[in-house]
Amino acid sequence: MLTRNMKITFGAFMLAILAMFMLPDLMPAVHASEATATESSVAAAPASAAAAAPASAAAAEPVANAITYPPAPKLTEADYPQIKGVNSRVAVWLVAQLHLWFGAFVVAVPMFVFIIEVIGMVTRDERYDNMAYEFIKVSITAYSLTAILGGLLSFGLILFYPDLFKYLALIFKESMWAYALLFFAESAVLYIYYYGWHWLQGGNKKWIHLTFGLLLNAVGLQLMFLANAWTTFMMSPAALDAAGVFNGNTWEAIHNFLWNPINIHRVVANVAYGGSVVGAYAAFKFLSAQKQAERAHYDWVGYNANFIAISALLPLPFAGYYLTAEMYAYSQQMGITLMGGVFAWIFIIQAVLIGALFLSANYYLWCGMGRSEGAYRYNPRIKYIAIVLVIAFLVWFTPHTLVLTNSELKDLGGPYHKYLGVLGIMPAKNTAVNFLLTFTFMSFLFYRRANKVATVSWAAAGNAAQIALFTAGLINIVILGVYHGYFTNTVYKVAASIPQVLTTLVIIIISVVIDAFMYKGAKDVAPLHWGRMSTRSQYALFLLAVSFTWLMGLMGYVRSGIRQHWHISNIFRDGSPDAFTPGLGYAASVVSVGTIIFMAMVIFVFWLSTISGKHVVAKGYWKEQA
Amino acid sequence: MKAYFLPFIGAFVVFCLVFLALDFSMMKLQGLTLIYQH
Repeated sequence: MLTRNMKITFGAFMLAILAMFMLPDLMPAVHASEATATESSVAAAPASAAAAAPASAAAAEPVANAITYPPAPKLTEADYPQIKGVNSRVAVWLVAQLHLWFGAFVVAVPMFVFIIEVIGMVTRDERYDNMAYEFIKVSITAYSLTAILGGLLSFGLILFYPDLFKYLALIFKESMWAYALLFFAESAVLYIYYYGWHWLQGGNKKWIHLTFGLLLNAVGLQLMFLANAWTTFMMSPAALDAAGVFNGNTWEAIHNFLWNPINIHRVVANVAYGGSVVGAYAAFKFLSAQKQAERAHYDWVGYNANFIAISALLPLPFAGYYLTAEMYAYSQQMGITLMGGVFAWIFIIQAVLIGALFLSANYYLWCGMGRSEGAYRYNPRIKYIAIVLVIAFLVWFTPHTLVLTNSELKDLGGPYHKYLGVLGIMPAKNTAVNFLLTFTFMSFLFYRRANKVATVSWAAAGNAAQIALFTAGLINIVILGVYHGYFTNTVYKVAASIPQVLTTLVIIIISVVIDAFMYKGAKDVAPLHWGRMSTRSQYALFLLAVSFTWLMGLMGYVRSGIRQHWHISNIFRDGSPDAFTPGLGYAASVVSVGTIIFMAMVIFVFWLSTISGKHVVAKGYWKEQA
Repeated sequence: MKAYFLPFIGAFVVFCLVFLALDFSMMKLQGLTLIYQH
């Protein structure tokens, strides 16, 4: 049976290899000249709204006749109401960011709560059901805060940016109305899902409860997608005529160029973020636990939360690359402002924070191996993973150009460092991030194996195959990064990043498959000691949540800031006194203040969940009832 | 040693082919070649 399975697997492998060689000939290949032509025409389009317009206007013609939209207003400083002592930009910035942080959390939590509930139902392990309930309980308070901040943001926009709000409401009136109604649906479904948790248990009732969970996710995602459309329309407005006037319909406005790239990026990022925040919740409860059983429970919850965060963190850089590539495709000017202009240094901070995310996630996993009696077999190898992660981290945040004085520039002999300069360009970063991902996955693999002993006869061969997989994959990543990154032109450099990314994914997928077969029916070394975790490991979970929050704030600022002096790129100019890009230090300070406010509010939410479980019996306070 | 070495060599050759095929097809799908051509 085993031989037969192995033959089938090997045959499938060989067929897959053959198919990969044949694939380009079977599919309509895009020739370099065609690709260049398409790219340049798309990229040129938004540089002047007039150039973008004819094609979309022609497409929109049959449905555009019904409504005529006015051109975007030309505003002056007098059109922006001021309230004494309030900086309108900072106020709206902070409120919008806080709304987004909480919004991301409450959209994400039902996604993995649903999955955890399904796992609980399939395995009939009640612990999963209890954990899912605990997560949704935390998100209920966050949901109220999201709504309050959303209301505050609407008031802020109406008060400080009335003409912009009016213009967007005119274009998106249908979707804004749908958004308001969907909010009712979201509230109703969420409350049924939460308050009906213990009522809808067992048999068909559980299925009904799961259906509400699915519905909750569907409504939540729709809400996010609608709001994303308003944001992305401001970056990449669609359905414009030759004069830059909107003449399309609601769907054309929603389905603008950057809508789907943002949707994908935010869905993945929200899951990672939601996982990190509930991880912080588990750490908070773990550190404040008085009993061993409570510590064990929250250790287990923290492990699951970290698993959710890492699972979504692994594909997140790819979603980010896709979004950035689409920004470049939409407007080269926007792309260069994003990564080659004033905002480039924010990406260095981003690199440091992403590095911190990977290091803290790995550190937590390594600490988690202490729960197992069998971890000693893998512990000596951890230091090598740590060395690779640190080297990849250093390459990842090495800047291309440095901020230098004239004398420093003279000493250096130019803007680039003699040795480190080569590490500042994207091929080095791509190689580094693929190493970060692969070795983070390796940490997880070690963690998973720490307490198990494989019983299959081919365990040695399976291990050898996995080592071969990692070796071949990492060599491929290096060749693609070095050869295509430094000895070819830009087109090859960018193109080579795709097989690099796919190599990482192939390593992960094949390794998971081998592992699943190899550890089927494996023996446990000993029962896991849940709760046997250091206090430091819990601070790693806090670091994960804080890094994510700060990262989202900074990159959100960059995404919004690349519109520069436009409310809506190229068609609606910002006429306010704040129509300039603030200094990076100033922007980072605003985001940092926002992060502190958000974390304070999150701790308040955690504290509320703690006091809700307390019940004080006030003896002698209440009148005795007859 | 034999239990590790032979499967390693076999698997290494297979995975090298897998990644080569991946690189080849991805570059070709983008209208490029595996080896840089001026």
